Amino acid sequence: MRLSLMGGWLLSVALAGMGGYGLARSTDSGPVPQQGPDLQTQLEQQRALLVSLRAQVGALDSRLTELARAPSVAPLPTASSPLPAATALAAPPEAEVDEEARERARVEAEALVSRGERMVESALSTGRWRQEDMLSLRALLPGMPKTQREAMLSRLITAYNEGRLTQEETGPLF
Amino acid sequence: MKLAKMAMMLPLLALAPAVAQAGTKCSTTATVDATNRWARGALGSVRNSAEATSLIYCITYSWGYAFCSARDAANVTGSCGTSDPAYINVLNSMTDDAYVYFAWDAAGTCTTMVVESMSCLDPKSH
Repeated sequence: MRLSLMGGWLLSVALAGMGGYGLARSTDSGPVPQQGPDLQTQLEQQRALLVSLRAQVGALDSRLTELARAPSVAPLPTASSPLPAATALAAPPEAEVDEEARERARVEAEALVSRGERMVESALSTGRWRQEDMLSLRALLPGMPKTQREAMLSRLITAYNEGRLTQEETGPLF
Repeated sequence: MKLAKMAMMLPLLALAPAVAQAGTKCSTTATVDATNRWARGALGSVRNSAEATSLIYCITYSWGYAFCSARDAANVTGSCGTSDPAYINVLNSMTDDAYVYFAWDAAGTCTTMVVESMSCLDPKSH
Protein backbone atom coordinates (compact mmCIF):
# COMPACT_ATOMS: atom_id res chain seq x y z
CA MET A 1 0.00 0.00 0.00
CA ARG A 2 2.75 2.36 0.96
CA LEU A 3 4.65 1.52 -2.21
CA SER A 4 1.63 2.37 -4.38
CA LEU A 5 1.36 5.67 -2.60
CA MET A 6 5.01 6.35 -3.36
CA GLY A 7 4.43 5.56 -7.02
CA GLY A 8 1.47 7.91 -7.05
CA TRP A 9 3.51 10.58 -5.38
CA LEU A 10 6.25 10.29 -7.97
CA LEU A 11 3.68 10.58 -10.74
CA SER A 12 2.19 13.67 -9.10
CA VAL A 13 5.58 15.26 -8.84
CA ALA A 14 6.22 14.59 -12.51
CA LEU A 15 2.84 15.98 -13.53
CA ALA A 16 3.23 19.01 -11.30
CA GLY A 17 6.59 19.65 -12.86
CA MET A 18 5.16 19.41 -16.32
CA GLY A 19 2.23 21.61 -15.39
CA GLY A 20 4.52 24.14 -13.86
CA TYR A 21 6.67 24.13 -16.96
CA GLY A 22 3.59 24.68 -19.13
CA LEU A 23 2.33 27.49 -16.91
CA ALA A 24 5.71 29.14 -16.93
CA ARG A 25 5.72 28.98 -20.70
CA SER A 26 2.21 30.38 -21.02
CA THR A 27 2.90 33.30 -18.67
CA ASP A 28 6.24 34.05 -20.22
CA SER A 29 6.20 37.72 -21.15
CA GLY A 30 8.87 37.24 -23.79
CA PRO A 31 8.15 36.69 -27.44
CA VAL A 32 6.73 33.26 -28.36
CA PRO A 33 7.61 32.57 -31.93
CA GLN A 34 5.74 29.97 -34.04
CA GLN A 35 2.94 29.11 -31.60
CA GLY A 36 0.55 27.11 -33.85
CA PRO A 37 2.01 23.77 -34.94
CA ASP A 38 4.87 23.90 -32.38
CA LEU A 39 2.47 24.00 -29.47
CA GLN A 40 0.78 20.91 -30.84
CA THR A 41 4.14 19.18 -31.14
CA GLN A 42 5.05 20.14 -27.61
CA LEU A 43 1.77 18.76 -26.28
CA GLU A 44 2.38 15.49 -28.09
CA GLN A 45 5.88 15.30 -26.70
CA GLN A 46 4.60 15.97 -23.19
CA ARG A 47 1.93 13.31 -23.62
CA ALA A 48 4.58 10.85 -24.74
CA LEU A 49 6.72 11.85 -21.80
CA LEU A 50 3.77 11.33 -19.48
CA VAL A 51 3.21 7.84 -20.86
CA SER A 52 6.89 7.08 -20.42
CA LEU A 53 6.89 8.38 -16.86
CA ARG A 54 3.79 6.33 -16.03
CA ALA A 55 5.51 3.25 -17.33
CA GLN A 56 8.64 4.01 -15.28
CA VAL A 57 6.61 4.65 -12.14
CA GLY A 58 4.79 1.38 -12.70
CA ALA A 59 8.07 -0.47 -13.10
CA LEU A 60 9.47 1.13 -9.96
CA ASP A 61 6.32 0.27 -8.08
CA SER A 62 6.60 -3.39 -9.07
CA ARG A 63 10.28 -3.42 -8.18
CA LEU A 64 9.59 -1.97 -4.74
CA THR A 65 6.90 -4.56 -4.16
CA GLU A 66 9.35 -7.34 -5.05
CA LEU A 67 11.97 -5.92 -2.71
CA ALA A 68 9.45 -5.66 0.08
CA ARG A 69 8.52 -9.33 -0.36
CA ALA A 70 12.13 -10.54 -0.42
CA PRO A 71 13.61 -11.58 2.96
CA SER A 72 15.70 -8.79 4.45
CA VAL A 73 19.41 -9.53 4.75
CA ALA A 74 20.21 -6.97 7.39
CA PRO A 75 17.88 -5.95 10.20
CA LEU A 76 16.39 -2.51 10.00
CA PRO A 77 17.98 0.06 12.24
CA THR A 78 16.42 0.47 15.63
CA ALA A 79 16.93 2.90 18.45
CA SER A 80 19.20 0.45 20.25
CA SER A 81 21.36 -0.12 17.17
CA PRO A 82 21.42 3.18 15.32
CA LEU A 83 22.27 3.05 11.64
CA PRO A 84 24.49 -0.01 11.40
CA ALA A 85 24.65 0.28 7.63
CA ALA A 86 25.71 3.92 7.79
CA THR A 87 28.34 3.12 10.37
CA ALA A 88 29.66 0.30 8.24
CA LEU A 89 29.89 2.60 5.25
CA ALA A 90 31.51 5.45 7.17
CA ALA A 91 34.21 3.44 8.92
CA PRO A 92 36.55 1.11 6.99
CA PRO A 93 36.68 -2.50 8.20
CA GLU A 94 38.80 -3.14 11.28
CA ALA A 95 41.21 -5.40 9.41
CA GLU A 96 41.80 -2.65 6.86
CA VAL A 97 42.57 -0.13 9.61
CA ASP A 98 45.00 -2.57 11.25
CA GLU A 99 46.70 -3.14 7.92
CA GLU A 100 47.06 0.59 7.31
CA ALA A 101 48.45 1.18 10.81
CA ARG A 102 50.91 -1.68 10.38
CA GLU A 103 52.05 -0.33 7.04
CA ARG A 104 52.50 3.16 8.46
CA ALA A 105 54.48 1.81 11.43
CA ARG A 106 56.64 -0.26 9.08
CA VAL A 107 57.46 2.76 6.93
CA GLU A 108 58.29 4.86 10.00
CA ALA A 109 60.51 2.13 11.44
CA GLU A 110 62.34 1.79 8.13
CA ALA A 111 62.95 5.54 8.09
CA LEU A 112 64.47 5.34 11.57
CA VAL A 113 66.70 2.45 10.53
CA SER A 114 67.86 4.39 7.45
CA ARG A 115 68.74 7.41 9.55
CA GLY A 116 70.57 5.26 12.09
CA GLU A 117 72.45 3.42 9.35
CA ARG A 118 73.54 6.69 7.77
CA MET A 119 74.74 7.95 11.14
CA VAL A 120 76.75 4.81 11.87
CA GLU A 121 78.16 4.75 8.32
CA SER A 122 79.27 8.35 8.63
CA ALA A 123 80.89 7.72 12.02
CA LEU A 124 82.71 4.63 10.75
CA SER A 125 84.05 6.58 7.78
CA THR A 126 85.47 9.31 10.02
CA GLY A 127 86.31 7.03 12.95
CA ARG A 128 84.81 9.56 15.34
CA TRP A 129 81.79 9.22 17.57
CA ARG A 130 80.60 12.49 19.03
CA GLN A 131 78.24 13.01 21.93
CA GLU A 132 75.64 14.41 19.54
CA ASP A 133 75.87 11.17 17.54
CA MET A 134 75.23 9.24 20.74
CA LEU A 135 72.22 11.38 21.60
CA SER A 136 70.78 11.21 18.08
CA LEU A 137 71.15 7.45 17.89
CA ARG A 138 69.69 7.07 21.37
CA ALA A 139 66.56 8.87 20.14
CA LEU A 140 66.22 6.61 17.10
CA LEU A 141 66.83 3.24 18.71
CA PRO A 142 63.53 2.67 20.56
CA GLY A 143 61.44 2.88 17.37
CA MET A 144 63.58 0.52 15.30
CA PRO A 145 62.69 -3.11 14.66
CA LYS A 146 64.65 -5.30 17.08
CA THR A 147 66.57 -7.30 14.48
CA GLN A 148 67.79 -4.28 12.53
CA ARG A 149 68.55 -2.36 15.71
CA GLU A 150 70.71 -5.16 17.09
CA ALA A 151 72.52 -5.58 13.79
CA MET A 152 73.33 -1.87 13.78
CA LEU A 153 74.50 -1.88 17.40
CA SER A 154 76.65 -4.91 16.70
CA ARG A 155 78.47 -2.97 13.97
CA LEU A 156 78.94 -0.04 16.31
CA ILE A 157 80.15 -2.14 19.24
CA THR A 158 82.61 -4.21 17.21
CA ALA A 159 84.04 -1.06 15.60
CA TYR A 160 84.43 0.45 19.05
CA ASN A 161 86.08 -2.68 20.46
CA GLU A 162 88.47 -2.90 17.52
CA GLY A 163 89.49 0.75 17.85
CA ARG A 164 87.97 1.76 14.50
CA LEU A 165 85.70 4.19 16.32
CA THR A 166 86.81 6.61 19.00
CA GLN A 167 84.58 8.55 21.32
CA GLU A 168 85.33 12.25 21.39
CA GLU A 169 83.92 12.68 24.89
CA THR A 170 83.84 10.30 27.82
CA GLY A 171 80.39 8.87 28.35
CA PRO A 172 78.06 6.14 27.16
CA LEU A 173 78.50 4.89 23.61
CA PHE A 174 74.74 5.07 22.93
CA MET B 1 107.04 3.36 87.01
CA LYS B 2 103.62 1.76 86.91
CA LEU B 3 102.08 4.94 85.53
CA ALA B 4 104.71 5.15 82.85
CA LYS B 5 103.86 1.61 81.67
CA MET B 6 100.20 2.49 81.52
CA ALA B 7 100.94 5.60 79.51
CA MET B 8 102.84 3.48 76.99
CA MET B 9 99.92 1.05 76.64
CA LEU B 10 97.28 3.71 75.98
CA PRO B 11 98.09 4.37 72.31
CA LEU B 12 97.99 0.63 71.62
CA LEU B 13 94.60 0.30 73.25
CA ALA B 14 93.29 3.15 71.16
CA LEU B 15 94.38 1.42 67.94
CA ALA B 16 93.00 -2.01 68.81
CA PRO B 17 89.31 -1.41 67.90
CA ALA B 18 90.21 0.17 64.57
CA VAL B 19 92.22 -2.85 63.54
CA ALA B 20 89.43 -5.22 64.58
CA GLN B 21 86.78 -3.31 62.48
CA ALA B 22 88.70 -3.30 59.21
CA GLY B 23 87.75 -6.11 56.83
CA THR B 24 89.36 -7.42 53.70
CA LYS B 25 89.81 -5.01 50.83
CA CYS B 26 89.64 -6.06 47.22
CA SER B 27 90.39 -3.25 44.82
CA THR B 28 89.79 -4.16 41.21
CA THR B 29 90.70 -1.59 38.62
CA ALA B 30 89.49 -1.89 35.04
CA THR B 31 91.01 -4.74 33.06
CA VAL B 32 90.20 -5.42 29.41
CA ASP B 33 91.40 -8.53 27.63
CA ALA B 34 90.61 -7.76 24.00
CA THR B 35 92.14 -11.02 22.77
CA ASN B 36 89.97 -13.25 24.91
CA ARG B 37 87.12 -10.76 24.89
CA TRP B 38 86.41 -10.10 28.53
CA ALA B 39 86.56 -7.15 30.87
CA ARG B 40 86.15 -6.58 34.58
CA GLY B 41 86.37 -3.91 37.24
CA ALA B 42 84.82 -2.60 40.42
CA LEU B 43 83.07 0.71 39.97
CA GLY B 44 84.51 2.19 43.17
CA SER B 45 88.07 1.09 42.46
CA VAL B 46 87.96 2.41 38.90
CA ARG B 47 86.53 5.68 40.07
CA ASN B 48 89.20 6.04 42.81
CA SER B 49 92.02 5.16 40.44
CA ALA B 50 94.82 7.73 40.23
CA GLU B 51 94.85 7.75 36.42
CA ALA B 52 92.08 9.36 34.40
CA THR B 53 91.71 6.92 31.51
CA SER B 54 89.97 3.88 32.93
CA LEU B 55 86.22 3.60 32.95
CA ILE B 56 83.62 0.90 33.41
CA TYR B 57 79.85 1.09 33.14
CA CYS B 58 76.70 -0.77 32.26
CA ILE B 59 73.40 0.62 30.97
CA THR B 60 69.96 -0.95 30.70
CA TYR B 61 67.47 0.47 28.20
CA SER B 62 63.69 0.61 28.38
CA TRP B 63 63.42 -1.03 24.96
CA GLY B 64 64.88 -4.29 26.25
CA TYR B 65 68.60 -3.98 25.84
CA ALA B 66 71.71 -3.74 28.00
CA PHE B 67 75.21 -2.54 27.25
CA CYS B 68 78.45 -2.79 29.23
CA SER B 69 81.74 -1.17 28.42
CA ALA B 70 85.19 -0.94 30.00
CA ARG B 71 88.40 0.90 29.20
CA ASP B 72 91.59 0.14 31.04
CA ALA B 73 94.49 2.42 31.91
CA ALA B 74 96.20 1.46 28.63
CA ASN B 75 93.11 2.74 26.72
CA VAL B 76 92.05 -0.74 25.60
CA THR B 77 88.29 -0.92 25.17
CA GLY B 78 85.91 -3.84 25.49
CA SER B 79 82.12 -3.69 25.20
CA CYS B 80 79.12 -5.86 24.65
CA GLY B 81 75.39 -5.56 24.20
CA THR B 82 72.51 -7.94 24.77
CA SER B 83 68.74 -8.16 24.64
CA ASP B 84 68.72 -11.37 26.68
CA PRO B 85 66.36 -10.77 29.62
CA ALA B 86 68.53 -12.96 31.89
CA TYR B 87 71.51 -10.65 31.38
CA ILE B 88 69.37 -7.57 31.82
CA ASN B 89 68.08 -8.98 35.12
CA VAL B 90 71.64 -9.53 36.31
CA LEU B 91 72.53 -5.94 35.51
CA ASN B 92 69.48 -4.62 37.32
CA SER B 93 71.01 -5.93 40.54
CA MET B 94 74.10 -3.78 40.04
CA THR B 95 74.86 -1.29 42.82
CA ASP B 96 76.96 1.88 42.86
CA ASP B 97 80.08 0.10 44.04
CA ALA B 98 79.53 -3.30 42.44
CA TYR B 99 82.10 -5.41 40.62
CA VAL B 100 81.21 -6.39 37.08
CA TYR B 101 82.68 -8.96 34.74
CA PHE B 102 81.48 -9.47 31.19
CA ALA B 103 82.58 -11.36 28.10
CA TRP B 104 81.55 -11.09 24.47
CA ASP B 105 81.67 -12.79 21.09
CA ALA B 106 82.98 -11.56 17.73
CA ALA B 107 79.70 -9.71 17.06
CA GLY B 108 79.95 -7.79 20.33
CA THR B 109 77.12 -9.72 21.95
CA CYS B 110 77.49 -10.45 25.65
CA THR B 111 78.17 -14.09 26.43
CA THR B 112 78.71 -13.80 30.17
CA MET B 113 77.63 -11.28 32.75
CA VAL B 114 78.56 -11.31 36.43
CA VAL B 115 77.69 -8.67 38.99
CA GLU B 116 79.09 -8.87 42.52
CA SER B 117 78.33 -6.86 45.63
CA MET B 118 80.99 -7.52 48.26
CA SER B 119 82.09 -5.84 51.45
CA CYS B 120 85.68 -5.82 50.30
CA LEU B 121 84.94 -3.60 47.31
CA ASP B 122 85.99 0.02 47.40
CA PRO B 123 83.31 2.64 47.78
CA LYS B 124 83.68 5.69 45.61
CA SER B 125 85.69 8.16 47.68
CA HIS B 126 85.79 11.16 45.40
